[in-house]
Amino acid sequence: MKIITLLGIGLATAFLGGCSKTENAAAPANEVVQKHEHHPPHHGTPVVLGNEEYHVEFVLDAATGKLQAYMLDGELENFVRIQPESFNIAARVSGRDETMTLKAVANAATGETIGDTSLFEVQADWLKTVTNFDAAIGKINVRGKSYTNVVFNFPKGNDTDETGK
Amino acid sequence: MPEPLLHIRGLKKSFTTPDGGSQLIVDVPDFSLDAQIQIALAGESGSGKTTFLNLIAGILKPDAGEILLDGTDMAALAEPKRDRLRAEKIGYIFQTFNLLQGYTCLENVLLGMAFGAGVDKHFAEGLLKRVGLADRLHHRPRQLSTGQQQRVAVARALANKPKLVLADEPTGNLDQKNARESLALIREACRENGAALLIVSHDREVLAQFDQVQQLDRINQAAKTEATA
Amino acid sequence: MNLWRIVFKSLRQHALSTCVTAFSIALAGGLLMSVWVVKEQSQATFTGVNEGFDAVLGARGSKLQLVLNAIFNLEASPGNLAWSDYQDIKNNPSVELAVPIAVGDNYHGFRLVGTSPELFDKTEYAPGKKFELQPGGAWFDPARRDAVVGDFVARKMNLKVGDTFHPFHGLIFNENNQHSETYVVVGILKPSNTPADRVIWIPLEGIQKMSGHDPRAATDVSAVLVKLKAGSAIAGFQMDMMYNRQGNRLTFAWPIGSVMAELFDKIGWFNRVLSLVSYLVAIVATASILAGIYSSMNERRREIAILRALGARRFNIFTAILLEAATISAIGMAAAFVVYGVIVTVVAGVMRAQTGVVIDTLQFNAVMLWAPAALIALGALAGIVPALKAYRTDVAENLTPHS
Repeated sequence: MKIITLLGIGLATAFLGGCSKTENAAAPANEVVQKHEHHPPHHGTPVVLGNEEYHVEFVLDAATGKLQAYMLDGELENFVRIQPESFNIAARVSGRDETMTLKAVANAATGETIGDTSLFEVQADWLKTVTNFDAAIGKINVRGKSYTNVVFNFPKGNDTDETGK
Repeated sequence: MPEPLLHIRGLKKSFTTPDGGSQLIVDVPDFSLDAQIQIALAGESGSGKTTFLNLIAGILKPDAGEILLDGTDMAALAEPKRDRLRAEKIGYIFQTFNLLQGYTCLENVLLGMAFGAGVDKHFAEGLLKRVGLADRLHHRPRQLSTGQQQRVAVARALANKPKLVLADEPTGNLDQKNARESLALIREACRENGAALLIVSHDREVLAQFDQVQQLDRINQAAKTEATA
Repeated sequence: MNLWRIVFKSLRQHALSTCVTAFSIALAGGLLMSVWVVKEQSQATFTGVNEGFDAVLGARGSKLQLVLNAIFNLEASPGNLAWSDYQDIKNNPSVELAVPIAVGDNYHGFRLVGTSPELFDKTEYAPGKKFELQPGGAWFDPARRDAVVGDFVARKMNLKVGDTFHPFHGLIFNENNQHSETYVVVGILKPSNTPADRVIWIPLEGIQKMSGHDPRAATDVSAVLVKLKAGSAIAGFQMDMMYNRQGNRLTFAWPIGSVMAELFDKIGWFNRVLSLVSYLVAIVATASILAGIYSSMNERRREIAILRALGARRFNIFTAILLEAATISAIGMAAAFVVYGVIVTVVAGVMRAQTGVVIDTLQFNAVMLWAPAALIALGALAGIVPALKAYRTDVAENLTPHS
């Protein structure tokens, strides 16, 4: 009888130790950001608003000269829809000043509309050739909070203390 | 002068009694048996005859003494070697035959040779024919008469071509007629196969058949003391 | 005459005990192998079934529900999509093929699925395999009330080319909900061993415009099956982000295999319970071997003593008993394959009837090697205790029968 008890304990241990082979064969991640890493979802340039309250992610498509701006939360995880229909950016490019007005983008697929969207974009020909510029967001309202003169560099961003990038 | 086949010297064996004490059952200072010789030992029950035979067969280990069988001291061997020696050189006929009920006659005889030099089916069949059971090769012991069962036991005892055949009251369970026939068969078969025979019995008719009869209680000092206790 | 002969004699002599214990081993082994194979096969198969598509686009809801509804034809649809949603994704440059489907009706419990002919002429439901018709059939004409019936449905409902039928409303059969429309069977699919076998395929408009369905939703679809262009893993990624995270209207279930894999992860506990049950049965079965042989040791004392008197070593006797135990286990394991065959055939049949998915249960699986090895070893282990008892048999004492 002792042998049976030992056998039982042995088997139970092996079992609980994880006989099932596929428990951890995890599905390939179809989520971009894991937990608390601050990676911009589109691999663009993250610009911090305020005290890490929100972010703006800038993505440049040089082929079309289109600059997109995604509004994201403090963790760079969730998209934040805001009311403004546009906001301005003043950029300094090779000595000259350029002003860009990024307009709200509606998207039937996502359900976003002008006045309730997380995506803004602007097109300019000079964006097709410039890869590096300094800029500042003039003023932007995000859920009742106002952020003015947010200075940043494209493509470096403005995160001076580099939290977990 | 050739050495005797079996030579026993100073053999002693005790058993523990129920009350914890020790009782000497076998105390044989000297005993020998030459090759191919047949002798009978006259012994009543209680004379230690079975123990004596078991010691010679290597089934029991003595407390002291020598049992030289064909030059090898049984008493000095470890159990597996004693078993092997018994398998090769000794045949044993029991009073109650001790055949295996689940095996046929032929298989019982084959078992008699299986643990020694090896199986020889032809020889086994020959032995059964010799003891008059040619048409019972594949019968089970249950299907045979007592006389026939005894004959299978005899054939089995000779299956491994032993040098020495031990027989412990071989006719004890047989009626008079069968007893006579059986004894004759044992003696003839041993003679034919060149085996010495050591038979222990208290039956006067059996003892009367032998030229050499020794009293067990004269050989076994422990039996004498027992008898006088 | 050798050790094996002695072992088999013994097994024969105790035939009833041998059969009973071997049978319990057969059950244990059969159960163990079945649980293992069914779990591995069903997981491999279900996560592999995608009818040739990479993703499903549907109304906002659970990805699992979406996949179960659109690919496996189980579960209700989480809601409808507008025709414009279908067109948007169809026009996406990363999308190779977008096939709309609409559900909502049934025929005696078998689902009617409205779709476009692209499902049949452009889709490979498995690498290199396209849907084919059995001889004498034709694909449906999108403008007519034609139906192409899956093989399983055709056999169960005894439908042949030329037969007509009335669909019933809803996903669950209720004979009071018969539609007035009549459909004609124009073709029967060859078995594909996928969920497609269990449905009746009709033109998309058929579902959309069935009488009694809301006419305002006449251009809605239940889901869109999406195939991405080769080499566009990033596209899937980005669409996943856009629809699922940036958006709040629709759900993009991608990749289909992962969604199913997550399901299996979630129910992994169930499989472990089943495995535990089979291990317990194995323990009980080997314990029965121990009990069976051990209880016969007393009556075997004399036999053992006789064998020893004939020259058998103690070790021979010990080995014979161990071999006896292991042999019972081996006999049981041989029969276990029969038990396995029965169990998996039944399970596979149920799976096929419920989902259309066919699992391969006769394929070799490593468990068919290690389960017999383990149980035979366990059997031998169970034999140790009785073997020790046999080893210790006192020869002299047991030679003379005690009257």
